[in-house]
Amino acid sequence: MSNKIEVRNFSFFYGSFQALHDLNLDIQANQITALIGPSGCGKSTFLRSLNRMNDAIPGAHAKGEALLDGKNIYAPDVDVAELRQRIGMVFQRPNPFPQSVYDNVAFGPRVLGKPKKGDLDQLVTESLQNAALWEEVKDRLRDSALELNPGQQQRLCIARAIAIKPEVILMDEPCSALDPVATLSVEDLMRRLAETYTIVIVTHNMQQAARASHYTGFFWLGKLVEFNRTNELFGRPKDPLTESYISGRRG
Amino acid sequence: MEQTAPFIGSRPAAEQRHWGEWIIEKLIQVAGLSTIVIIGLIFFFLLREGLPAFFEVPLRTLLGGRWYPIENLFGLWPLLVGSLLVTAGAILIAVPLGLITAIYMGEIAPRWQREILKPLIEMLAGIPSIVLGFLGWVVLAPLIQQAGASTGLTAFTGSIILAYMSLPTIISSSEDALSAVPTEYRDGALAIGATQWQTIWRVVVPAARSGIVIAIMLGIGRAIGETMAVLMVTGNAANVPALGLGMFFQPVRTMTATIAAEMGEVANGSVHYHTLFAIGILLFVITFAINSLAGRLVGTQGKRRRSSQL
Repeated sequence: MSNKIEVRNFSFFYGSFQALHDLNLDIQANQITALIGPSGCGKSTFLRSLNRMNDAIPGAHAKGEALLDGKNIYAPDVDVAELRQRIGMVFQRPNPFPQSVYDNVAFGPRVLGKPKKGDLDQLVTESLQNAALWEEVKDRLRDSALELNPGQQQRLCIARAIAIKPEVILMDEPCSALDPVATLSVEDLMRRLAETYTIVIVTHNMQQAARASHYTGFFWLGKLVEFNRTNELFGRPKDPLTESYISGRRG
Repeated sequence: MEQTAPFIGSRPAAEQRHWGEWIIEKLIQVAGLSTIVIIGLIFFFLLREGLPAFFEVPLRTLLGGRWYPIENLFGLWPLLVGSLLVTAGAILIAVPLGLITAIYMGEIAPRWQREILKPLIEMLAGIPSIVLGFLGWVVLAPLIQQAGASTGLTAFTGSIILAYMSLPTIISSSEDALSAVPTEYRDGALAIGATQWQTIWRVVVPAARSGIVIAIMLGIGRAIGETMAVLMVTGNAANVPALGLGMFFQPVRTMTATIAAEMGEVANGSVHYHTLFAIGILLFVITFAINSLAGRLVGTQGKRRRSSQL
Protein backbone atom coordinates (compact mmCIF):
# COMPACT_ATOMS: atom_id res chain seq x y z
CA MET A 1 0.00 0.00 0.00
CA SER A 2 1.31 3.40 -0.88
CA ASN A 3 -0.15 6.83 -0.54
CA LYS A 4 -1.13 8.33 -3.88
CA ILE A 5 -2.41 11.56 -2.44
CA GLU A 6 -1.52 12.95 0.96
CA VAL A 7 -3.66 15.75 2.29
CA ARG A 8 -2.04 17.84 5.03
CA ASN A 9 -3.81 20.61 6.96
CA PHE A 10 -5.80 21.38 3.85
CA SER A 11 -8.39 24.18 3.94
CA PHE A 12 -10.37 25.65 1.11
CA PHE A 13 -12.08 29.02 0.83
CA TYR A 14 -14.64 30.58 -1.44
CA GLY A 15 -13.77 34.23 -0.84
CA SER A 16 -14.09 34.66 2.90
CA PHE A 17 -16.22 31.55 3.34
CA GLN A 18 -14.25 28.58 4.57
CA ALA A 19 -15.63 25.46 2.91
CA LEU A 20 -13.03 22.96 4.18
CA HIS A 21 -11.36 22.96 7.58
CA ASP A 22 -7.90 21.56 8.08
CA LEU A 23 -8.26 18.17 6.41
CA ASN A 24 -5.75 15.39 6.87
CA LEU A 25 -6.04 12.12 5.03
CA ASP A 26 -4.13 9.71 2.82
CA ILE A 27 -5.61 8.35 -0.36
CA GLN A 28 -4.17 4.95 -1.14
CA ALA A 29 -3.03 3.98 -4.59
CA ASN A 30 -5.23 1.47 -6.44
CA GLN A 31 -7.98 1.69 -3.87
CA ILE A 32 -11.44 3.16 -4.02
CA THR A 33 -11.91 5.94 -1.52
CA ALA A 34 -15.48 7.08 -0.93
CA LEU A 35 -16.44 10.44 0.51
CA ILE A 36 -19.82 10.62 2.18
CA GLY A 37 -21.75 13.26 4.07
CA PRO A 38 -24.82 15.45 3.75
CA SER A 39 -25.24 18.02 0.96
CA GLY A 40 -23.05 21.06 1.44
CA CYS A 41 -20.61 19.27 3.74
CA GLY A 42 -17.68 20.03 1.44
CA LYS A 43 -17.08 16.59 -0.04
CA SER A 44 -17.59 17.81 -3.61
CA THR A 45 -15.48 20.89 -2.96
CA PHE A 46 -12.73 18.63 -1.69
CA LEU A 47 -12.99 16.37 -4.73
CA ARG A 48 -12.93 19.29 -7.16
CA SER A 49 -10.01 20.88 -5.35
CA LEU A 50 -7.90 17.77 -6.02
CA ASN A 51 -7.77 18.51 -9.76
CA ARG A 52 -8.24 22.23 -9.26
CA MET A 53 -11.60 22.42 -11.00
CA ASN A 54 -12.48 25.12 -8.46
CA ASP A 55 -9.78 27.43 -9.83
CA ALA A 56 -12.21 29.13 -12.18
CA ILE A 57 -14.44 30.29 -9.33
CA PRO A 58 -13.48 33.87 -8.42
CA GLY A 59 -12.07 34.15 -4.92
CA ALA A 60 -11.49 30.42 -4.47
CA HIS A 61 -8.21 29.54 -2.82
CA ALA A 62 -6.58 26.77 -0.83
CA LYS A 63 -4.36 26.60 2.25
CA GLY A 64 -2.24 23.71 3.37
CA GLU A 65 -1.06 20.93 1.10
CA ALA A 66 -2.45 18.24 -1.12
CA LEU A 67 0.45 16.14 -2.33
CA LEU A 68 0.21 13.98 -5.43
CA ASP A 69 3.15 11.57 -5.25
CA GLY A 70 4.75 13.99 -2.83
CA LYS A 71 4.31 17.08 -5.00
CA ASN A 72 1.88 19.79 -3.90
CA ILE A 73 -1.03 20.16 -6.31
CA TYR A 74 -1.20 23.85 -5.44
CA ALA A 75 2.49 24.59 -5.92
CA PRO A 76 2.94 27.66 -8.13
CA ASP A 77 4.87 25.79 -10.81
CA VAL A 78 2.13 23.20 -11.38
CA ASP A 79 0.62 23.23 -14.88
CA VAL A 80 -3.09 22.80 -14.27
CA ALA A 81 -3.78 21.14 -17.62
CA GLU A 82 -0.99 18.64 -16.95
CA LEU A 83 -2.28 18.01 -13.44
CA ARG A 84 -5.74 17.21 -14.83
CA GLN A 85 -4.20 14.78 -17.27
CA ARG A 86 -2.93 12.88 -14.23
CA ILE A 87 -6.09 13.35 -12.18
CA GLY A 88 -9.14 12.83 -14.36
CA MET A 89 -12.72 13.46 -13.41
CA VAL A 90 -16.17 12.03 -14.04
CA PHE A 91 -19.11 14.24 -13.26
CA GLN A 92 -22.49 13.88 -11.62
CA ARG A 93 -24.47 14.29 -14.83
CA PRO A 94 -23.05 12.38 -17.79
CA ASN A 95 -21.53 15.09 -19.98
CA PRO A 96 -20.41 13.59 -23.27
CA PHE A 97 -19.62 16.20 -25.90
CA PRO A 98 -22.19 16.56 -28.70
CA GLN A 99 -19.87 14.66 -31.00
CA SER A 100 -19.55 11.05 -32.10
CA VAL A 101 -18.81 8.27 -29.62
CA TYR A 102 -15.39 7.88 -31.21
CA ASP A 103 -14.55 11.57 -31.08
CA ASN A 104 -15.53 11.73 -27.42
CA VAL A 105 -13.02 9.06 -26.46
CA ALA A 106 -10.41 10.40 -28.87
CA PHE A 107 -10.75 13.91 -27.45
CA GLY A 108 -8.11 13.56 -24.74
CA PRO A 109 -5.46 11.87 -26.89
CA ARG A 110 -6.00 14.47 -29.60
CA VAL A 111 -5.65 17.30 -27.11
CA LEU A 112 -2.39 15.84 -25.86
CA GLY A 113 -0.83 15.53 -29.27
CA LYS A 114 -1.35 14.18 -32.72
CA PRO A 115 -1.76 10.42 -32.36
CA LYS A 116 -1.47 8.26 -35.47
CA LYS A 117 -4.78 7.03 -36.82
CA GLY A 118 -4.05 3.37 -36.10
CA ASP A 119 -2.85 4.05 -32.57
CA LEU A 120 -5.85 6.22 -31.92
CA ASP A 121 -8.24 3.53 -33.13
CA GLN A 122 -6.65 1.06 -30.80
CA LEU A 123 -6.66 3.48 -27.88
CA VAL A 124 -10.36 4.21 -28.41
CA THR A 125 -11.17 0.52 -28.60
CA GLU A 126 -9.16 -0.25 -25.46
CA SER A 127 -10.69 2.59 -23.51
CA LEU A 128 -14.19 1.57 -24.46
CA GLN A 129 -13.42 -2.04 -23.55
CA ASN A 130 -12.02 -0.99 -20.19
CA ALA A 131 -15.10 1.11 -19.58
CA ALA A 132 -17.27 -1.96 -20.32
CA LEU A 133 -18.96 -0.16 -23.16
CA TRP A 134 -17.31 -1.63 -26.25
CA GLU A 135 -19.81 -4.39 -26.91
CA GLU A 136 -22.70 -1.92 -26.82
CA VAL A 137 -21.22 0.74 -29.06
CA LYS A 138 -18.77 -0.99 -31.38
CA ASP A 139 -21.21 -0.58 -34.28
CA ARG A 140 -22.18 2.95 -33.29
CA LEU A 141 -18.82 4.67 -33.04
CA ARG A 142 -19.85 7.29 -35.58
CA ASP A 143 -23.22 8.00 -33.95
CA SER A 144 -23.70 11.00 -31.74
CA ALA A 145 -22.82 10.27 -28.12
CA LEU A 146 -26.04 12.02 -27.14
CA GLU A 147 -27.99 9.11 -28.60
CA LEU A 148 -26.70 6.71 -25.95
CA ASN A 149 -28.73 6.11 -22.80
CA PRO A 150 -27.60 7.83 -19.58
CA GLY A 151 -25.82 4.75 -18.22
CA GLN A 152 -23.92 4.33 -21.47
CA GLN A 153 -23.15 8.05 -21.54
CA GLN A 154 -21.62 7.85 -18.08
CA ARG A 155 -19.48 4.88 -19.06
CA LEU A 156 -18.50 6.82 -22.17
CA CYS A 157 -17.36 9.66 -19.93
CA ILE A 158 -15.30 7.15 -17.98
CA ALA A 159 -13.83 5.84 -21.24
CA ARG A 160 -13.05 9.43 -22.20
CA ALA A 161 -11.31 9.98 -18.88
CA ILE A 162 -9.20 6.81 -19.04
CA ALA A 163 -8.22 7.28 -22.69
CA ILE A 164 -5.37 9.55 -21.57
CA LYS A 165 -4.29 7.06 -18.91
CA PRO A 166 -4.58 9.22 -15.81
CA GLU A 167 -3.32 8.02 -12.43
CA VAL A 168 -6.28 9.09 -10.37
CA ILE A 169 -9.95 9.27 -11.33
CA LEU A 170 -12.25 11.52 -9.33
CA MET A 171 -15.94 10.71 -9.53
CA ASP A 172 -18.48 13.22 -8.38
CA GLU A 173 -21.67 11.29 -7.61
CA PRO A 174 -21.29 9.42 -10.89
CA CYS A 175 -24.42 7.34 -10.38
CA SER A 176 -26.88 9.90 -9.08
CA ALA A 177 -28.44 10.38 -12.53
CA LEU A 178 -28.55 6.66 -13.27
CA ASP A 179 -31.07 3.93 -12.62
CA PRO A 180 -30.18 1.00 -10.29
CA VAL A 181 -29.07 -1.32 -13.07
CA ALA A 182 -26.78 1.27 -14.64
CA THR A 183 -25.53 2.13 -11.16
CA LEU A 184 -24.47 -1.44 -10.50
CA SER A 185 -22.68 -1.67 -13.82
CA VAL A 186 -20.75 1.52 -13.06
CA GLU A 187 -19.82 0.17 -9.61
CA ASP A 188 -18.62 -3.06 -11.19
CA LEU A 189 -16.57 -1.02 -13.54
CA MET A 190 -15.08 1.01 -10.69
CA ARG A 191 -13.87 -2.13 -8.97
CA ARG A 192 -12.12 -3.26 -12.13
CA LEU A 193 -10.65 0.17 -12.78
CA ALA A 194 -9.19 0.24 -9.27
CA GLU A 195 -6.68 -2.39 -10.40
CA THR A 196 -5.11 0.25 -12.61
CA TYR A 197 -6.21 3.56 -11.17
CA THR A 198 -6.69 5.26 -7.85
CA ILE A 199 -10.34 6.19 -7.49
CA VAL A 200 -11.96 8.80 -5.29
CA ILE A 201 -15.72 8.89 -5.38
CA VAL A 202 -18.18 11.29 -3.82
CA THR A 203 -21.54 9.71 -3.15
CA HIS A 204 -24.80 10.46 -1.45
CA ASN A 205 -25.59 6.84 -1.38
CA MET A 206 -24.21 5.13 1.72
CA GLN A 207 -24.96 1.64 0.44
CA GLN A 208 -22.84 2.50 -2.55
CA ALA A 209 -19.95 3.61 -0.35
CA ALA A 210 -20.28 0.47 1.75
CA ARG A 211 -20.56 -1.79 -1.30
CA ALA A 212 -17.97 -0.36 -3.59
CA SER A 213 -15.18 1.32 -1.63
CA HIS A 214 -12.12 0.29 0.36
CA TYR A 215 -11.83 3.48 2.38
CA THR A 216 -14.49 5.93 3.43
CA GLY A 217 -14.29 9.48 4.70
CA PHE A 218 -17.23 11.10 6.43
CA PHE A 219 -17.55 14.87 5.99
CA TRP A 220 -19.63 17.13 8.18
CA LEU A 221 -19.77 20.92 7.84
CA GLY A 222 -16.48 21.13 6.01
CA LYS A 223 -14.62 18.89 8.43
CA LEU A 224 -13.45 15.34 7.99
CA VAL A 225 -15.08 13.69 10.97
CA GLU A 226 -13.80 10.19 10.40
CA PHE A 227 -11.67 8.39 7.87
CA ASN A 228 -11.08 4.67 7.93
CA ARG A 229 -11.32 1.40 6.06
CA THR A 230 -14.85 1.14 4.81
CA ASN A 231 -15.78 -1.96 6.80
CA GLU A 232 -14.37 -0.36 9.95
CA LEU A 233 -16.18 2.91 9.42
CA PHE A 234 -19.51 1.28 8.73
CA GLY A 235 -19.02 -1.58 11.17
CA ARG A 236 -17.49 0.21 14.14
CA PRO A 237 -17.74 3.96 13.69
CA LYS A 238 -15.60 5.74 16.26
CA ASP A 239 -17.34 9.09 16.20
CA PRO A 240 -20.95 9.33 17.44
CA LEU A 241 -21.69 11.76 14.57
CA THR A 242 -20.60 9.16 12.03
CA GLU A 243 -22.65 6.56 13.74
CA SER A 244 -25.81 8.60 13.74
CA TYR A 245 -25.30 9.62 10.08
CA ILE A 246 -24.69 6.16 8.70
CA SER A 247 -27.54 4.72 10.68
CA GLY A 248 -29.79 7.34 9.12
CA ARG A 249 -30.60 9.36 12.22
CA ARG A 250 -28.95 12.49 10.91
CA GLY A 251 -28.29 14.10 7.54
CA MET B 1 -64.93 39.01 -6.74
CA GLU B 2 -68.06 40.30 -5.11
CA GLN B 3 -70.23 37.45 -6.22
CA THR B 4 -69.47 33.77 -5.99
CA ALA B 5 -69.58 31.92 -9.25
CA PRO B 6 -69.50 28.24 -8.49
CA PHE B 7 -68.58 26.68 -11.81
CA ILE B 8 -69.05 29.16 -14.63
CA GLY B 9 -69.67 32.87 -14.47
CA SER B 10 -73.17 34.22 -14.59
CA ARG B 11 -74.56 34.18 -18.10
CA PRO B 12 -74.02 37.79 -19.21
CA ALA B 13 -70.44 37.79 -17.97
CA ALA B 14 -69.69 34.57 -19.80
CA GLU B 15 -71.16 35.95 -22.98
CA GLN B 16 -69.11 39.10 -22.70
CA ARG B 17 -65.99 37.05 -22.21
CA HIS B 18 -66.88 34.99 -25.23
CA TRP B 19 -67.19 38.12 -27.40
CA GLY B 20 -63.97 39.52 -26.07
CA GLU B 21 -62.20 36.30 -26.97
CA TRP B 22 -63.71 36.32 -30.43
CA ILE B 23 -62.61 39.88 -31.18
CA ILE B 24 -59.06 39.31 -29.96
CA GLU B 25 -58.83 36.10 -31.92
CA LYS B 26 -59.97 37.80 -35.10
CA LEU B 27 -57.64 40.74 -34.61
CA ILE B 28 -54.68 38.42 -34.26
CA GLN B 29 -55.82 36.48 -37.29
CA VAL B 30 -56.12 39.63 -39.41
CA ALA B 31 -52.74 40.89 -38.30
CA GLY B 32 -51.13 37.57 -39.13
CA LEU B 33 -52.83 37.17 -42.46
CA SER B 34 -52.14 40.75 -43.54
CA THR B 35 -48.40 40.13 -43.27
CA ILE B 36 -48.72 37.14 -45.52
CA VAL B 37 -50.93 39.03 -47.96
CA ILE B 38 -48.54 41.96 -48.15
CA ILE B 39 -45.56 39.70 -48.72
CA GLY B 40 -47.56 38.00 -51.45
CA LEU B 41 -48.37 41.36 -53.02
CA ILE B 42 -44.74 42.47 -52.93
CA PHE B 43 -43.68 39.26 -54.58
CA PHE B 44 -46.42 39.57 -57.19
CA PHE B 45 -45.50 43.18 -57.93
CA LEU B 46 -41.82 42.30 -58.21
CA LEU B 47 -42.62 39.54 -60.67
CA ARG B 48 -45.04 41.69 -62.69
CA GLU B 49 -42.55 44.49 -63.10
CA GLY B 50 -39.42 42.40 -63.41
CA LEU B 51 -40.34 39.35 -65.46
CA PRO B 52 -40.93 41.29 -68.74
CA ALA B 53 -37.22 42.12 -68.76
CA PHE B 54 -36.44 38.48 -69.47
CA PHE B 55 -38.54 38.71 -72.66
CA GLU B 56 -37.54 42.22 -73.72
CA VAL B 57 -33.82 41.80 -73.31
CA PRO B 58 -32.11 38.95 -75.14
CA LEU B 59 -30.74 36.39 -72.71
CA ARG B 60 -27.25 36.79 -74.13
CA THR B 61 -27.30 40.48 -73.30
CA LEU B 62 -28.62 39.82 -69.79
CA LEU B 63 -25.84 37.34 -69.10
CA GLY B 64 -23.32 39.61 -70.75
CA GLY B 65 -20.68 41.75 -69.16
CA ARG B 66 -21.82 45.16 -70.26
CA TRP B 67 -24.27 47.33 -68.33
CA TYR B 68 -24.89 50.39 -70.52
CA PRO B 69 -28.60 51.18 -70.27
CA ILE B 70 -28.27 54.07 -72.73
CA GLU B 71 -27.12 51.67 -75.43
CA ASN B 72 -29.73 49.13 -74.39
CA LEU B 73 -27.09 46.84 -72.97
CA PHE B 74 -28.36 45.29 -69.75
CA GLY B 75 -25.69 42.77 -68.72
CA LEU B 76 -26.35 41.75 -65.12
CA TRP B 77 -23.03 39.96 -64.74
CA PRO B 78 -20.94 42.96 -63.57
CA LEU B 79 -23.59 43.88 -60.99
CA LEU B 80 -23.76 40.32 -59.71
CA VAL B 81 -19.98 40.14 -59.54
CA GLY B 82 -19.92 43.52 -57.79
CA SER B 83 -22.37 42.37 -55.14
CA LEU B 84 -20.61 39.04 -54.66
CA LEU B 85 -17.19 40.68 -54.40
CA VAL B 86 -18.27 43.22 -51.82
CA THR B 87 -20.23 40.63 -49.85
CA ALA B 88 -17.51 38.00 -50.00
CA GLY B 89 -14.98 40.55 -48.82
CA ALA B 90 -17.28 41.58 -46.01
CA ILE B 91 -17.73 37.95 -44.94
CA LEU B 92 -13.99 37.31 -45.03
CA ILE B 93 -13.49 40.23 -42.68
CA ALA B 94 -16.58 39.98 -40.50
CA VAL B 95 -16.79 36.24 -39.80
CA PRO B 96 -13.38 35.71 -38.22
CA LEU B 97 -13.46 39.07 -36.48
CA GLY B 98 -17.02 38.57 -35.24
CA LEU B 99 -16.43 35.01 -34.08
CA ILE B 100 -13.23 35.91 -32.26
CA THR B 101 -14.91 38.87 -30.59
CA ALA B 102 -17.82 36.68 -29.55
CA ILE B 103 -15.44 34.08 -28.14
CA TYR B 104 -13.55 36.76 -26.28
CA MET B 105 -16.72 38.23 -24.84
CA GLY B 106 -18.37 34.96 -23.98
CA GLU B 107 -15.47 32.83 -22.83
CA ILE B 108 -12.45 34.87 -21.92
CA ALA B 109 -13.29 38.43 -20.90
CA PRO B 110 -13.88 39.07 -17.22
CA ARG B 111 -17.40 40.01 -16.27
CA TRP B 112 -16.85 43.77 -16.05
CA GLN B 113 -15.39 43.92 -19.56
CA ARG B 114 -18.30 41.95 -20.92
CA GLU B 115 -20.68 44.40 -19.34
CA ILE B 116 -18.99 47.27 -21.15
CA LEU B 117 -18.54 45.49 -24.47
CA LYS B 118 -22.03 44.15 -24.90
CA PRO B 119 -23.88 47.50 -24.92
CA LEU B 120 -21.12 49.04 -27.04
CA ILE B 121 -21.62 46.43 -29.69
CA GLU B 122 -25.35 46.86 -29.56
CA MET B 123 -24.75 50.57 -30.07
CA LEU B 124 -22.67 49.80 -33.15
CA ALA B 125 -25.76 48.04 -34.52
CA GLY B 126 -27.72 51.24 -34.02
CA ILE B 127 -25.49 53.47 -36.15
CA PRO B 128 -27.43 54.36 -39.30
CA SER B 129 -25.81 52.79 -42.34
CA ILE B 130 -25.57 56.13 -44.08
CA VAL B 131 -23.31 57.38 -41.30
CA LEU B 132 -21.01 54.42 -41.80
CA GLY B 133 -21.05 55.12 -45.53
CA PHE B 134 -20.16 58.73 -44.85
CA LEU B 135 -17.24 57.66 -42.67
CA GLY B 136 -16.13 55.28 -45.39
CA TRP B 137 -16.19 58.09 -47.92
CA VAL B 138 -14.40 60.67 -45.79
CA VAL B 139 -11.96 58.55 -43.78
CA LEU B 140 -11.55 55.10 -45.22
CA ALA B 141 -11.43 55.85 -48.96
CA PRO B 142 -8.54 58.33 -48.72
CA LEU B 143 -6.60 55.81 -46.60
CA ILE B 144 -7.08 53.09 -49.18
CA GLN B 145 -6.00 55.40 -51.97
CA GLN B 146 -2.90 56.34 -50.01
CA ALA B 147 -2.16 52.66 -49.60
CA GLY B 148 -1.76 52.42 -53.35
CA ALA B 149 -5.13 51.76 -54.98
CA SER B 150 -5.95 53.87 -58.02
CA THR B 151 -9.02 55.16 -56.23
CA GLY B 152 -10.24 54.84 -52.67
CA LEU B 153 -13.73 53.89 -53.78
CA THR B 154 -13.33 50.16 -54.25
CA ALA B 155 -15.00 46.85 -53.54
CA PHE B 156 -12.70 46.50 -50.56
CA THR B 157 -13.85 49.81 -49.09
CA GLY B 158 -17.43 48.59 -49.38
CA SER B 159 -16.44 45.27 -47.79
CA ILE B 160 -14.98 46.96 -44.74
CA ILE B 161 -18.04 49.14 -44.25
CA LEU B 162 -20.36 46.17 -44.73
CA ALA B 163 -18.27 44.03 -42.41
CA TYR B 164 -18.66 46.57 -39.64
CA MET B 165 -22.33 46.79 -40.38
CA SER B 166 -22.84 43.05 -40.03
CA LEU B 167 -20.44 42.61 -37.11
CA PRO B 168 -22.92 43.47 -34.33
CA THR B 169 -25.36 40.89 -35.67
CA ILE B 170 -22.69 38.23 -35.96
CA ILE B 171 -21.15 39.01 -32.58
CA SER B 172 -24.28 39.16 -30.49
CA SER B 173 -25.95 36.13 -32.07
CA SER B 174 -22.77 34.05 -31.85
CA GLU B 175 -22.26 35.12 -28.28
CA ASP B 176 -25.77 34.00 -27.44
CA ALA B 177 -25.05 30.66 -29.09
CA LEU B 178 -21.80 30.25 -27.15
CA SER B 179 -23.34 31.11 -23.82
CA ALA B 180 -26.11 28.56 -24.45
CA VAL B 181 -23.49 25.79 -24.46
CA PRO B 182 -23.84 23.92 -21.14
CA THR B 183 -21.04 24.44 -18.60
CA GLU B 184 -20.80 20.66 -18.30
CA TYR B 185 -19.11 20.50 -21.71
CA ARG B 186 -16.47 22.98 -20.63
CA ASP B 187 -15.91 21.13 -17.35
CA GLY B 188 -15.65 17.86 -19.23
CA ALA B 189 -12.95 19.17 -21.52
CA LEU B 190 -11.01 20.97 -18.78
CA ALA B 191 -11.11 17.87 -16.59
CA ILE B 192 -9.32 15.90 -19.31
CA GLY B 193 -6.52 18.41 -19.25
CA ALA B 194 -7.51 20.49 -22.25
CA THR B 195 -6.32 24.07 -22.10
CA GLN B 196 -8.87 26.86 -22.17
CA TRP B 197 -8.24 27.47 -25.85
CA GLN B 198 -8.55 23.77 -26.72
CA THR B 199 -11.79 23.66 -24.75
CA ILE B 200 -13.19 26.62 -26.64
CA TRP B 201 -12.07 25.53 -30.06
CA ARG B 202 -12.73 21.81 -29.88
CA VAL B 203 -15.82 21.66 -27.69
CA VAL B 204 -17.62 24.95 -27.15
CA VAL B 205 -17.52 26.33 -30.69
CA PRO B 206 -18.54 23.03 -32.34
CA ALA B 207 -21.38 22.69 -29.83
CA ALA B 208 -22.58 26.18 -30.73
CA ARG B 209 -22.14 25.59 -34.46
CA SER B 210 -25.77 25.83 -35.47
CA GLY B 211 -26.24 29.13 -33.65
CA ILE B 212 -23.04 30.48 -35.16
CA VAL B 213 -24.19 29.49 -38.65
CA ILE B 214 -27.43 31.41 -38.10
CA ALA B 215 -25.43 34.39 -36.85
CA ILE B 216 -23.26 34.38 -39.96
CA MET B 217 -26.24 33.98 -42.27
CA LEU B 218 -28.01 36.88 -40.58
CA GLY B 219 -24.86 38.92 -41.04
CA ILE B 220 -24.60 37.99 -44.71
CA GLY B 221 -28.26 38.79 -45.18
CA ARG B 222 -27.67 42.23 -43.83
CA ALA B 223 -24.57 42.72 -45.97
CA ILE B 224 -26.01 41.63 -49.31
CA GLY B 225 -29.13 43.75 -48.97
CA GLU B 226 -27.36 46.90 -47.85
CA THR B 227 -27.56 49.75 -50.34
CA MET B 228 -26.74 53.29 -49.41
CA ALA B 229 -23.40 52.89 -47.69
CA VAL B 230 -22.23 50.64 -50.51
CA LEU B 231 -23.47 53.10 -53.10
CA MET B 232 -21.32 55.76 -51.49
CA VAL B 233 -18.03 53.93 -51.21
CA THR B 234 -17.69 51.36 -53.98
CA GLY B 235 -17.18 53.75 -56.87
CA ASN B 236 -20.16 52.54 -58.89
CA ALA B 237 -18.36 51.41 -62.00
CA ALA B 238 -20.31 48.59 -63.57
CA ASN B 239 -17.40 46.61 -64.88
CA VAL B 240 -16.14 43.11 -64.28
CA PRO B 241 -12.73 43.38 -62.65
CA ALA B 242 -9.99 41.03 -63.81
CA LEU B 243 -9.65 37.91 -61.71
CA GLY B 244 -7.11 38.08 -58.90
CA LEU B 245 -6.56 39.73 -55.56
CA GLY B 246 -6.51 43.10 -57.31
CA MET B 247 -10.18 42.84 -58.08
CA PHE B 248 -11.00 43.86 -54.52
CA PHE B 249 -9.22 47.15 -55.11
CA GLN B 250 -11.18 48.28 -58.12
CA PRO B 251 -14.45 50.18 -58.22
CA VAL B 252 -17.50 47.98 -58.62
CA ARG B 253 -21.22 48.46 -58.65
CA THR B 254 -23.57 46.28 -56.68
CA MET B 255 -27.08 45.21 -57.60
CA THR B 256 -28.66 47.20 -54.80
CA ALA B 257 -26.68 50.34 -55.64
CA THR B 258 -27.74 50.06 -59.29
CA ILE B 259 -31.41 50.00 -58.40
CA ALA B 260 -31.04 52.88 -55.97
CA ALA B 261 -29.01 55.02 -58.34
CA GLU B 262 -31.02 54.48 -61.50
CA MET B 263 -34.60 54.01 -60.42
CA GLY B 264 -35.15 57.75 -60.18
CA GLU B 265 -34.34 58.41 -63.79
CA VAL B 266 -35.99 55.61 -65.73
CA ALA B 267 -39.25 55.92 -67.60
CA ASN B 268 -42.00 53.91 -65.98
CA GLY B 269 -42.57 50.72 -67.97
CA SER B 270 -39.41 50.98 -70.08
CA VAL B 271 -37.03 48.11 -70.66
CA HIS B 272 -34.55 49.69 -68.28
CA TYR B 273 -37.28 49.93 -65.63
CA HIS B 274 -38.19 46.28 -66.04
CA THR B 275 -34.57 45.27 -65.85
CA LEU B 276 -34.10 47.06 -62.56
CA PHE B 277 -36.97 45.03 -61.17
CA ALA B 278 -35.40 41.91 -62.61
CA ILE B 279 -32.36 42.74 -60.50
CA GLY B 280 -34.76 42.92 -57.55
CA ILE B 281 -35.97 39.41 -58.37
CA LEU B 282 -32.38 38.20 -58.53
CA LEU B 283 -31.65 39.71 -55.11
CA PHE B 284 -34.80 38.16 -53.73
CA VAL B 285 -33.78 34.74 -55.03
CA ILE B 286 -30.28 35.05 -53.56
CA THR B 287 -31.52 36.11 -50.14
CA PHE B 288 -34.15 33.38 -50.21
CA ALA B 289 -31.49 30.81 -51.08
CA ILE B 290 -29.25 31.95 -48.23
CA ASN B 291 -32.10 31.84 -45.77
CA SER B 292 -33.29 28.41 -46.75
CA LEU B 293 -29.74 27.10 -46.73
CA ALA B 294 -29.34 28.44 -43.20
CA GLY B 295 -32.70 26.95 -42.28
CA ARG B 296 -31.65 23.57 -43.60
CA LEU B 297 -28.27 23.61 -41.88
CA VAL B 298 -29.87 24.52 -38.60
CA GLY B 299 -32.80 22.17 -39.10
CA THR B 300 -30.70 19.02 -39.39
CA GLN B 301 -28.69 20.03 -36.34
CA GLY B 302 -31.77 20.74 -34.29
CA LYS B 303 -33.35 17.46 -35.26
CA ARG B 304 -30.34 15.51 -34.21
CA ARG B 305 -30.26 17.21 -30.85
CA ARG B 306 -33.95 16.69 -30.19
CA SER B 307 -33.86 13.02 -31.00
CA SER B 308 -31.07 12.56 -28.50
CA GLN B 309 -32.91 14.06 -25.58
CA LEU B 310 -34.96 11.08 -24.62
